[in-house]
Amino acid sequence: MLLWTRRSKVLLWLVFGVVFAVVVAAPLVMIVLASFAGHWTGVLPGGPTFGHYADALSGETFASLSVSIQTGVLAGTAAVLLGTWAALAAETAPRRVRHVADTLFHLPIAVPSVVLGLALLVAFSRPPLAFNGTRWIVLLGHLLILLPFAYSTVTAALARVDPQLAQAAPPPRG
Amino acid sequence: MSVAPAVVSEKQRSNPVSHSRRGLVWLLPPLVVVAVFFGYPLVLVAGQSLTTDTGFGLGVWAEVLGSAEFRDAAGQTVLLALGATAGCVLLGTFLALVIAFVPFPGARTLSRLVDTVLAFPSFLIALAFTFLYGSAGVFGAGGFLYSPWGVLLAEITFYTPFVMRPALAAFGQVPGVHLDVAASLGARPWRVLGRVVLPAALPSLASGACLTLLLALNEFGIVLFLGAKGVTTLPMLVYGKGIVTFDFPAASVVALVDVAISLLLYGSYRVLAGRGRGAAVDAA
Repeated sequence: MLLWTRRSKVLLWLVFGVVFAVVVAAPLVMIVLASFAGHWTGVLPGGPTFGHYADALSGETFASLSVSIQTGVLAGTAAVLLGTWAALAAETAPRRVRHVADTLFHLPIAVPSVVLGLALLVAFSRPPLAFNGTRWIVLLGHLLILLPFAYSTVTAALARVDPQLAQAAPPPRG
Repeated sequence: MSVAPAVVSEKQRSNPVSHSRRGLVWLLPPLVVVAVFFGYPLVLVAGQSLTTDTGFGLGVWAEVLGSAEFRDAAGQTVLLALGATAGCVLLGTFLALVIAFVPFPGARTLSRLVDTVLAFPSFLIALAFTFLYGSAGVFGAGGFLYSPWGVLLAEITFYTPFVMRPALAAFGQVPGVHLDVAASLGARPWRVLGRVVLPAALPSLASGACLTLLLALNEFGIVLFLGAKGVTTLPMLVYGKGIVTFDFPAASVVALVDVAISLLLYGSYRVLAGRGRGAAVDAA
């Protein structure tokens, strides 16, 4: 639409191709290549092998993988539940309260994760809530980082829901 | 949708008080969670930063803010973040422009590939960079990777999608007719770009840039992983002081300064994202 001549288009695509290959494709390709590398003495890895994948799925590496997945699933589920709850509750709250809640639930995004980690260490290494060193502090950190994403996704989705749907539900009594 | 506003206002008129109050009660549990597990720790960090050997005071603040180490780190953090943001805006806008307006077969697939980068942890890019540009890498470019430039390039690579995605969304909303009309009136491509396309996409680009700046300021994985010599950003300083040397008061001061900068930027991002609504990154 912007360029009309064939020559200028091809030239532009060439530049695009080079930039894309260097910036986006090369790092991804390298990771994939390296994961199959049996040895790496020359410029490119050689001796393709599935050995690293076998290693990753056994022993200690697998234990780490499993902990990662557990953390992700648990923290993610908790964040979605809490975020959905918060988004639904905020939607029915008065306008001004909703704005405040909106800001509060988004705040963990704006705080650097290192600072969040430091704060959790400072707060939960002492009574009344001393669970530093347990898995719970890790889960808690993840939950807080994920919460804004869950909250804002549900809020955005709610904004698109037809308000008449809520009207179609049976009215609450009492 | 046209009848919806009337229905809503009727609903609110019929039962405004109990409706609001019910909302408030339901809002309490998540608010308590955020207050206890997020607000309380941050308050303790603020308290920690005021703890000196002799009791309470601003001693640690004066000491940290006056140190060359802190000022170097702050300057370096801001410079790196600004550089990364500028790079991401240029690169992201260029890639999005080509995909949106000079498309080629497979362009959409490529843009989806870029989206997948959003799902990666940032240290993965750092790892890929050590394969590519490290001392034993494919293009082992003599120590380049372990200088501030290596960190900058890694951050640009990682954060470009954060600009490119809102840019693509915004370009998609520019009517093709406008471009055709401008071109048929004799406007050169640069002029169409400058007068029609970029002004329309400006709010989205600005909010994308703001988000990138915020995330680049707080980038930790890339800097830690590359371990570039002489590159100490504020998050690295927080980590070093808090976790490595257990100097919690000093770490708290740096942390609070970092939080203040981040909150300022995040506020601007929210304002800008509100303006470029619809095209802004949905929660990154």
